[in-house]
Amino acid sequence: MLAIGAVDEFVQAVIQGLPVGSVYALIAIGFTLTYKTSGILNLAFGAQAYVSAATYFELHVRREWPIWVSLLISVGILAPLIGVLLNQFVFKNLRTASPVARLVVTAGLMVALPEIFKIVTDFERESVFGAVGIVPDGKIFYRIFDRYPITRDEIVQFTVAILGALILFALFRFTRLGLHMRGVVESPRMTELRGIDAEKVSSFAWGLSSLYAGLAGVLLCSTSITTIEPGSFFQLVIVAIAAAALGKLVSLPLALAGGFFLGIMNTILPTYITPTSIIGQNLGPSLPFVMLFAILVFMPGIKASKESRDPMAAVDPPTDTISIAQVSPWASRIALIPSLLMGVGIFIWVLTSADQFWMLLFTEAVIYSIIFLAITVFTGMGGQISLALTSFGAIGAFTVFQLTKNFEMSSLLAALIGAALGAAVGALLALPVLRLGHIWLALATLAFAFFFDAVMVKFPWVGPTSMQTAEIPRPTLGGLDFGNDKSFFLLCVVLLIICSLFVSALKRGTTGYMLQALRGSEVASQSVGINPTRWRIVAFAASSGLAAFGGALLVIGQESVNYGSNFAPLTGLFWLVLVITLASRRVSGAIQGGVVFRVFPDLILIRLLHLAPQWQFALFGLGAINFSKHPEGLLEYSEQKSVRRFDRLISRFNARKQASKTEVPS
Amino acid sequence: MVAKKFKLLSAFAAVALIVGACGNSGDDEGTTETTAGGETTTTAGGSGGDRDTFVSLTGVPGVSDTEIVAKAIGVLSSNPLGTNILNAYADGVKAYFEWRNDEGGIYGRKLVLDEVIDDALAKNKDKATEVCAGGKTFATFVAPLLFSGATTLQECGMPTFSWGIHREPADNDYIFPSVAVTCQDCTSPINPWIASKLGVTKVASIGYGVSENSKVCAQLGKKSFEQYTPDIEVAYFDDTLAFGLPTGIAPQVSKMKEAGVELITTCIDLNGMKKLGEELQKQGMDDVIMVHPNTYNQDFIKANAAIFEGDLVGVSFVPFEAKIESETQAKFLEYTEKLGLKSEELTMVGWINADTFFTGLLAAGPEFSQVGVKDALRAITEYSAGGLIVPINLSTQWKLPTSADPTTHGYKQTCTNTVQIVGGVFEQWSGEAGKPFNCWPNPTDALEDPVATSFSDAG
Repeated sequence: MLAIGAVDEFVQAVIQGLPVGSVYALIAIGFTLTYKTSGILNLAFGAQAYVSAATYFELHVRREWPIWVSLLISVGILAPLIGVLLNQFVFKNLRTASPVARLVVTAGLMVALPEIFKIVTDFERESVFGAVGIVPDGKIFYRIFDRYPITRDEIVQFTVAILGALILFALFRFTRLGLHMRGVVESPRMTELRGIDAEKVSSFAWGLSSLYAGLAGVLLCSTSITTIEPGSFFQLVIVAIAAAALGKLVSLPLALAGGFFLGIMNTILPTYITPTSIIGQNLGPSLPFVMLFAILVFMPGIKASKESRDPMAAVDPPTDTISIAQVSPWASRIALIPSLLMGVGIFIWVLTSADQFWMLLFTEAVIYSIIFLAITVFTGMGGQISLALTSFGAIGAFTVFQLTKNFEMSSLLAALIGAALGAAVGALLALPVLRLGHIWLALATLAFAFFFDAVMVKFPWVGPTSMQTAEIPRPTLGGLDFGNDKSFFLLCVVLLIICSLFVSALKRGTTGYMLQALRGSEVASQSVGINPTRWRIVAFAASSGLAAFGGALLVIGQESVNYGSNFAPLTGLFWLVLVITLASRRVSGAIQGGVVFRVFPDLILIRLLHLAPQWQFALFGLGAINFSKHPEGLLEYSEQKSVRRFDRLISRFNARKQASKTEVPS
Repeated sequence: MVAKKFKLLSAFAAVALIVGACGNSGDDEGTTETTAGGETTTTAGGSGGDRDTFVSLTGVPGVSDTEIVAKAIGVLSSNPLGTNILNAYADGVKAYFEWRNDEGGIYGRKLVLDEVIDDALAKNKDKATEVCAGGKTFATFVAPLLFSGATTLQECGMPTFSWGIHREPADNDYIFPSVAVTCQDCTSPINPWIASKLGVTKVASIGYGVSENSKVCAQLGKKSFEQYTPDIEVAYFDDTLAFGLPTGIAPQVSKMKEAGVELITTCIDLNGMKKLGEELQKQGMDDVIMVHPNTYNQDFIKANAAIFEGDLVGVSFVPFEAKIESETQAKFLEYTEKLGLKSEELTMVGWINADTFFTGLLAAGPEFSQVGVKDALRAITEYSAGGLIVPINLSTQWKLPTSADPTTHGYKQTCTNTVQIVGGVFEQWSGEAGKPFNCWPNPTDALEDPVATSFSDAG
């Protein structure tokens, strides 16, 4: 009897896990499809799913159009159209781009697509609940074995996941088109030599994967997502990446199996583990992120699965970047003068004339510049991507909160301790993840960020509890009191200068050269005795320490922790996209990033152009698309362009001068 | 027992005194009465008294000879709940201003809500700072999800009226929430009373793990049952759920079914409630009643009528479905209809906030200022927005009450206003006709029968 009860409980948990599993499987398959047919880890998958889901909701729920018409428009027409357009205007240019560039562009699209949709359709004009599936009366349920209930919506979702995987598997395995699609990813030039229109095949592949994203989006709204909001879609995508990672992003059957496995684990866990136990309290909410992290770190072969290399890549070389070496160093320095003058001008204006609002924005611009220096170190110098910046910022913030609250420590000293703690945690995290490299490293850090958000923040020894005020005092140093906004702004400027000098020294020192060498060729670097792990740990720890220090200063400035406003995991992705798009390789890029992030939206978009806040995300996201053309960053590109122009002028002037000198004797 | 009775009697005596003190308040006239102890009870009435007196004021932000300018800040874009917050809230404020302006405004000026600012979820502090720095706003109405601008508004001395779901107004005397800041570690007799009234013996208490507020709420829910109704078993407890229940709640519902749960008290949002309701239906637990904390939304309930049939929903004000003797409520219904607005929870919250503001202006007198409005409001010991909410002692209830001292800064009474979902609409469940609240004296050590109450005669 007991055995029957135990079996029954297990079967019940497995069956209950199937609908959740089919959600994960659906996304994991779509995600794998995109990667398989484009070689791109498409972070915008959730955004594409959102657009179709929101369109379906708008047409079917709000405008009461028939299901089939709404489905045809949102999934059959709009979704593939988006895929084809994205391929035509964005992804086509990314074939020879670096993994970093590809990731940044998709992250930009992830931010931009939903916001553009919202602006165009005014989607948030009223409540967005009441989503329904694609079958009438989707909540009617049937019982498996006369016992375990499953709804119509879940049956549809389950069927689409299985059928979708089978169809796609057959497409790749048994059809020429499938072979062509894979071939185009490997080497478009080579497939073209065989008379295959790589463009058409690529467009078809993007249309197909986008259609799948759209279908997944619409189906998810009937089961998993109750409010049509981009964040929910993205979070599900992150979870499903764990399933897709099981198949190393290329195996459809493994992605399918991974999705179901994850779904079943999600129900097995609460079935057998008490929610009040330590495991129940901590593993329950973070299971997908822990699994993603574990798969990436422990699964054999993940780090060996490098991106495909096109043997004919040289035919389409990466976009030429303007090298600093092309211009004379003094021309570069002269070209910096306008920026420096502007910086000094702004500094004086803030100190003398800025009101409380602009003081806040510029102070935070300075603080964000410090945080963004973390990107300069790890991405600009190290060529790697960390998506856990917000977690390290939060570590600094929480350290300040705990030390000032419990030990009445000076907040500045607490910030320094927070930076050290951030660096230490960074170094620890680096040990298992740094060997992964590129997209796998990015995913592992993203999993860490979501784990931190789901589990760590709520511990009373980490963040403030509901019984505590999250207030943080401004610092004093000797006789100096930084309580007022002006003196705090000055302090932040001084700290930014110190941090910038530190990063410059790091860049010009041994670490910088080692990282540069590793960035050039890891194998070659190792052959000359450079230990990649050691130098990347140094870079990751320094980067994490800077982010933690910036996070600490941010909450000291705001005099409150404000975790939700400042350190939500997705915010870090936005920071990264912004800084990389502008200029991640130079210290000035981080500073410009800080100013653009904090001042640009209010000054330009809201004050001058009177645009809604969504435009900020839409424009920044679209800016990231340009990154594929200008990997050195938009600001660095335009600056270097001016420098080159200036250099040319000087050369012309010198040439004329030389010519006139030679003319005199004759 | 004698002590308890004494407390109860004292509370009744206090209520009687308040009612008596407000007895002279006419429906059409705003009055401010000062007691011997210097305390005041004020109602925002119609035209009359010195409300028509015009005094030219200089140097008061947002005040001209013709207008008193306010702004609203709240979440519109990037709202993870998907509900209509800022627009509904601002509609409530605008409707209230329309009413008062139709009556001739106040002190010869019109009330104007000149800007509705979207804080895009994470920029509440920025927007608060911008409003403060602009120097052209007299008062601010806020309906954010993340209230990071609270300290800023406090520090710039801006009378601020907020959606009462946050902890941030605590210790900030310029901020007046629609519901006073509540004790974060106190048990409450409300859910135990509901359970005992329904005659259930096994209950569940659940909350989100990621939100500290939700987690604490679920834990207090459990403690409350243990304290007030030890004979009712908390057969299932879970404070670890993922926000929005993206992976469903099937195993947890199976556990509840196995444990024989008959009532579920929750600390989750309306979208989570929908998922829970759907799963209960699937597992044949349709008869289990859920107690919702955040689902007073007519459209939502209508769209999900079958899922929520028979469930109970707590409302922080007198719901639209319960009619009381209150001009403020009557005018709300009149003006929302007149302006073609939808009556939503946040519309009423905006309306209540606007009433608090107007009450403050009235109490401050024709030579009003920002600090004057704040001080005048902070002198009011009984404020109920014309009976729409449980009376708040504005002079003390801006600090956080604790379980060790629930009274100094807490409500005099613990009240509930509960509606039931029947056929996709709400029906008043607590209290009785004309007296929608059920109240206990605060603190209440043991569960006693509550008193059906109306505060329409209070300030």
